[in-house]
Amino acid sequence: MKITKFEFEDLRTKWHLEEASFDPFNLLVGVSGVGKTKILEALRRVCRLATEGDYGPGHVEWLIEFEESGLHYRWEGNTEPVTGDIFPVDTNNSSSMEDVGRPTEIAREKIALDDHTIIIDRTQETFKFQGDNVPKLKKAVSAIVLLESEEQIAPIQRGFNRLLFSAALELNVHAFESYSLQQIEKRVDEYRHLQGSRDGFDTFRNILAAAGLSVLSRYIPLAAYYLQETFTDEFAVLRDSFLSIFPSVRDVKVHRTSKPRLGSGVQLELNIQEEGTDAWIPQSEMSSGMLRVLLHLIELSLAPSGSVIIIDEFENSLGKNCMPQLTDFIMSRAPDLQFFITSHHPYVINKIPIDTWKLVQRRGGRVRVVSARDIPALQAASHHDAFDRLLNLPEFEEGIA
Amino acid sequence: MSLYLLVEGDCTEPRIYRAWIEHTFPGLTAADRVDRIGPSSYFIFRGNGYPSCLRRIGNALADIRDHARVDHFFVCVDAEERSYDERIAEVQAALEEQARQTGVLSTVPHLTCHVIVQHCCIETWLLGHARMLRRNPESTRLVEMKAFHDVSTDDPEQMGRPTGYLTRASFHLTYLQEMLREQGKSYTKKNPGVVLEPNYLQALRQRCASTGHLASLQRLFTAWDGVVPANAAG
Repeated sequence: MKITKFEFEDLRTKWHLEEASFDPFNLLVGVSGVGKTKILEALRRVCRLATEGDYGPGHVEWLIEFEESGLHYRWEGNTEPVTGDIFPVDTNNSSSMEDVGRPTEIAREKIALDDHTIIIDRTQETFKFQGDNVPKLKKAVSAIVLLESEEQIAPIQRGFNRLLFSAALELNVHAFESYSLQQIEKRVDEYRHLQGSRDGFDTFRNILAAAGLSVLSRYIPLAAYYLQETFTDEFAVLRDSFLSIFPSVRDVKVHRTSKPRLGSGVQLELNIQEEGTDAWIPQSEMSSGMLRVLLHLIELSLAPSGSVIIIDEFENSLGKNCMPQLTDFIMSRAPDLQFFITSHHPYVINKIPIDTWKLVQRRGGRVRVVSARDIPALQAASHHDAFDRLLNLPEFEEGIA
Repeated sequence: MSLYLLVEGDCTEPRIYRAWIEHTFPGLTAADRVDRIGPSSYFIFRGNGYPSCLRRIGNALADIRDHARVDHFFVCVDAEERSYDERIAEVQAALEEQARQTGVLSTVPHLTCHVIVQHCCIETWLLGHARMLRRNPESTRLVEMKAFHDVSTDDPEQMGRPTGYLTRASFHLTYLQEMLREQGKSYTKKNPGVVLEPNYLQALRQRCASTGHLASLQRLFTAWDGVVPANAAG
């Protein structure tokens, strides 16, 4: 999937992202508070609406254009609060942007293919799929979820399943799951059979991504375990990348433990081994920077071609010793993946070409995204660092008004 | 004879230049600080990227003027997305201006300054070891890269980037990693591995000499050959 345009409004908070165009690689820059993270959150809300049947995005309006399997789609619509709301929310005191649980229903929804074929045309009164009326279906659920089995809709949902919101910034990877050893081994056997096929690794990555294993932090050790046990060459590349960033580390593995209290279950945990000792260090004792680098590497290694990788403030917890290599790793995957990354860090901003920057600005509740290609001052020749030039832009300094 | 190198990168370049200097000038020892640069030593200072590196030229020359005995000062930077001539001109202009401002040549008249531009990055040079690219690569990725530009027969400096790669340097790095991986070797910015070995440097010298490829690397070799006794050439 490749997102080309996005517009979003939270009609409750009056937060409005104006229609913005996006490229294969997008580095969102702008002063703190301008709304970079909210743009990513808005993408997540639209993505959840397209993939989950029991998700309410709140009172919103959206428009998203994207390419999937060589076709160009435009999906737009809005929701309305259900009348007679029995869970009234105090909108003045609600701190979250998202009204989780607040009942809404789809008031309007339209999906167009290649600008001329209308696949879905839905209002509160009518619901047409390829021009034909559809029986009344759940009003709270998007047409993409309701009709996910239809061949015209399935690729759209597959596309939204390729939006991978990085879990590397969440610290709850420490949460342990108990897995059935038998089930895990059965899967390992299945995935090993993929090794011989031409696109076996991408098929493997697609399976994990569809199950959400590579981006749900609690499942990352499981996904990494499958990689370690099946595609050993690819796991070795991941391990080498990690070792090159942290030369004091000798080895990385996903450790499987059986504990009596788990019965027949097993636990999986990321482990590293430092030079000069045989002891393995569990993930719970790794430095947060090391753990985050490892999680980023796992996610990026497991993301299938065509995924959209969304990383908020990717430099968090990362020292100067790991940022260059991780940035290189991200850039090496740019041909296969779309990226939405926010950053404040001079190293990251200097390293990533100016043409990929998207400068975010806000006037009250209206947020604009301007491509650096459209900012003349950034296109002129200069001896200054790119980051210094960004800081000197009036568009940056006056990012919020 | 003593050398002072101001290199753009923080990570890879210091390691590679250090190894290559030790192969080329076995009589030189590394100085750990500028006031310890002696008559047979070399010193490498990290420039923290470009154009930050340019701002450090003045301080480096002032250090040479006040604290060090240096015969040759090298500024080593990537061309990146600029043309080779543009980048040479930028660095040369900064160097001349800073030499004038610091007055270093009045105090150290024997000092010779050199501008080395890695065109477009140091990995471009490293792609020049023709025997490292297999005739029939196995990985689909490397097959595609070789079809895009066969670095074993065509000049790596002339290689652009396929659609999707953000920069030429990012593609050249990925190509180098894939090429070495098929040889069972790994290359990372922190652990350049095999490229530090004397045979690798020798293969690059041969490539420059026999094909005329990698002209920007040849400029480094020419500069080094001019400052080193003939029997110590690497």
